[in-house]
Amino acid sequence: MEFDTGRSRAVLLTLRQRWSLILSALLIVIGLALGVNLRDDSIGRSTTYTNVEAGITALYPARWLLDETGDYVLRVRDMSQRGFNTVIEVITLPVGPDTSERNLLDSLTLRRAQTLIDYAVLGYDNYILPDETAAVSMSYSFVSRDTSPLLQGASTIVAGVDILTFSRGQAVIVSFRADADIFQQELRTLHRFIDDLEY
Amino acid sequence: MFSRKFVISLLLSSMLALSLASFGSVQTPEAELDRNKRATVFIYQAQAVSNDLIVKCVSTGTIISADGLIITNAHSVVRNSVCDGDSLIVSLNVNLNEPPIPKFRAEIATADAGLDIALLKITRELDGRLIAAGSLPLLPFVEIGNANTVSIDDNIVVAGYRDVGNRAVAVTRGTVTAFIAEPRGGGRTWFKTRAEIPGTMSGGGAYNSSGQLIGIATSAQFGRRGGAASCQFIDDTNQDGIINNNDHCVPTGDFISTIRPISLAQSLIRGAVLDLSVEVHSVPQQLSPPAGPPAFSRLLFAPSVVDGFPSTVVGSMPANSQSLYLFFDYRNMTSDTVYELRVTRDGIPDPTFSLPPVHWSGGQAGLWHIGSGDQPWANGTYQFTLLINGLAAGTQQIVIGGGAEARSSFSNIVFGLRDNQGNIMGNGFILPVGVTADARFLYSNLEEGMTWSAVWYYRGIEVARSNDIWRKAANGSDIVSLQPRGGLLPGAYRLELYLNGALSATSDFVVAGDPGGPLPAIFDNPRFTSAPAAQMAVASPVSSSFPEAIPNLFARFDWQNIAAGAPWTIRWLVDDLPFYEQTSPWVTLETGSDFLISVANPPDGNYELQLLVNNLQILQAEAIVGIGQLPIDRLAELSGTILSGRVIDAATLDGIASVTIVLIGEDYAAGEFEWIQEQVVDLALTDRNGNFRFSRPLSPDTPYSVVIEADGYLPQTADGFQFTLDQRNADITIELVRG
Repeated sequence: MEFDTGRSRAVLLTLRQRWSLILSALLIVIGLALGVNLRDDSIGRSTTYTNVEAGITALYPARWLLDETGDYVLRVRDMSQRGFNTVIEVITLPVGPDTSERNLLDSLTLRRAQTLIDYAVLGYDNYILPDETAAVSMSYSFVSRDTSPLLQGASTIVAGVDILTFSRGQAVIVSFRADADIFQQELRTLHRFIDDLEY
Repeated sequence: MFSRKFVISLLLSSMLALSLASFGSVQTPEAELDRNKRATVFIYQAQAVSNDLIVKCVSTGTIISADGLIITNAHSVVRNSVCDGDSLIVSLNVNLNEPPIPKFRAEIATADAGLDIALLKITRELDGRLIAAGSLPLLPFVEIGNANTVSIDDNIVVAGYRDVGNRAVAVTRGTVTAFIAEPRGGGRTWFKTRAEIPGTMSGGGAYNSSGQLIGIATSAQFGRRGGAASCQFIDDTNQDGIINNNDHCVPTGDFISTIRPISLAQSLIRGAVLDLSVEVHSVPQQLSPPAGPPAFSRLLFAPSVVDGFPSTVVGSMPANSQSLYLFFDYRNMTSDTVYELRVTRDGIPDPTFSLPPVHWSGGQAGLWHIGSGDQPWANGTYQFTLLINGLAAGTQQIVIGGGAEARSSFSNIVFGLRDNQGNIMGNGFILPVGVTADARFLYSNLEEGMTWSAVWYYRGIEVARSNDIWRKAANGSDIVSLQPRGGLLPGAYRLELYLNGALSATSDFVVAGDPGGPLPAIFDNPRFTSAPAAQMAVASPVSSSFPEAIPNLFARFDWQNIAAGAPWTIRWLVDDLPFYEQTSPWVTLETGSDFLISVANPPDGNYELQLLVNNLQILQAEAIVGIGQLPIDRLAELSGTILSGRVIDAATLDGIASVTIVLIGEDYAAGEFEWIQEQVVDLALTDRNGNFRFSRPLSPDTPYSVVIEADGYLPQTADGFQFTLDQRNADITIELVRG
């Protein structure tokens, strides 16, 4: 039995074909660059929120669900996030002359302990806001289970942080909560939010 | 590649829209049954002992409103000597073919131990966390039907659990075999059925052929031998390492053959739905216990009931009789007392007219009756035996058969005062304090020379007797009078008429109040006030109109000459719908002022207080709160479609967990969705199998849109799907394409 072991003949391209190849490669590179750019633009795109009554202006990620119907000034949630939807919440609370940051954080703790599963405070820290204002942060965790009681919903460990500062006679608290597995990488969203927050 | 996925996404969107638009058929009986089974819960009553929860009693319950109101039997959830637990755990049907899963804790919203009905409200998660108001997901609930339209031989289905939480919800089918009458609920106090309903299904719902709730399977937890009914040892409650007779035995009860009609629970349900609680302030909060053991006496038969009393007394009935009632006196009874009626015909047990052990619902003492009307009684010798807590407490026999005879008798006694023409005036069963009480009665087929007697009793003691020879016509009416020395004192009176030495007619009346027209002036001067607490209510200004959101609505009234023990009834209505009714013996002073009853946190509405004595309305007064009309309860009106389904991966067909589905209302298409909560009707999250369930029903004939954005998948949208009024449930599958 004989086998053809000879090499294939070199393919000779015409000039037009060469230019086509070069242009195609160029187009792919441009397309990829454009795609990456659009993607970054999409990820970084923000929506402006203004609440004249509360005196708050903020930029939050586009396509996050804005909610002003609860006992907060605003709440935005990333509905595309699988599992626990990453959430940023801004609440304002009245303060008296004797009210301390710790009073308010403890009050939040007591209230949350009534309704959140395994709610636990992890610690307190100082936080410097972009305008150099001092704030206090409280880290915490709890377990979330949001599906219907008639379904087999799995629980998610959620990590959260509250950043509290006093401004114009009221306390402004920015709460951020995300799935504990992605909490650190999601924190940049919180930092961007706080950078743009005006109150 | 991208364009291909885009096309796929578009196609899937179209398919989703089509499937949503075309999904769902008219609700079938099977679908109704499934819904009713889903709304059937299993309830543990448990006692916390150190770190353990010891199960004390179990029962079945039924969710009757979307916000988690559960109806069940009172005896297994309200703390008592048998069921002395302090926690109520509610297990839901997650999968219909599997045992229920404990999910929530509940509290008693309202209960009536006599009716043996309790309404529970889900208040906490299983781990004890409070459920914030309005945050409980919409739960499956049943539709309440009209128990008054049920007829003999109607098919019924009873849903419940056959054992202590080991098996899935089950249904038992049967027919209504008889109606049992008692004073508390009239001719339809109980439905009898021959369906074999296990004791653990006590509290479960009974449904008509349309799937509507028409009653509650009800049985006391005492067996026929007087001790605890059959029970199960399921836990090492004394923690000695073994489960044996020394541990707590969870009562499971005997088979049930009685259904409590839902109509008797309507005011309880309304009170619980509106969260209205009534407090009676001017009576001792702890009533004195009975003076002796419970007992029955003076058993007699009557062919019919007139205003709660026997029309006449009979010793036999003709063939083809359609009704028969056993009357008897009772004393020292409580709602913990279990009573039972066993009927035999010619020595053979007659389950149709027997009443299995049930809790007593008639108060401490009085006249009671049990029987059945508008259904044939076969010929034979009937033996009626009454039991208290499993022990015989009285028996009486009657023969039914033979032709109708012209029997000599007295009948139809009514009481009143004679006017100038000698006619009896009044309401029949309540007389004011005065000099004379008159009683008119009918007589039939009497013969001259017969001996007859009229015997009067006051508080159970004979106070007057007249014996005479009959000298009047054979048929007609006559009047007898009572003129005691010192006049008629407040209290309970009785007249017995004897013919030839045998009791022929009997009836009771109450003397209370001052003379004041057709009805005695027992209660008067009704007025309403609002105050934070009872101590401030008497000094608060009187009004008939109050602003919204008042803390309490107090009703005050004065009273005169009502003796201790007289049965009186408080009835509250809002917008003409009763939400509270309580009959009890009078326990405070004979005469006084500022009797205080309150309704806590009354919502806007037109409130009406009615006071009754001997079932006759004596006083009525109204007050308006807020706009004078109940707020529209959205949940109570909901009758839309429950949308559930599954989100799957288009490639693998596996369910996708933790995906959020956004449901948008009719005002916006998916393309117009701006990610604002106001545009969102509801959100649902898929479980570990990709299943989801929206928590609020969708309105009929209203277009909805769905938006899904999940990391790792192409966005999915659908517009314009809607459901019809008769679609209770819709189940859809949504495919997502990886991208």
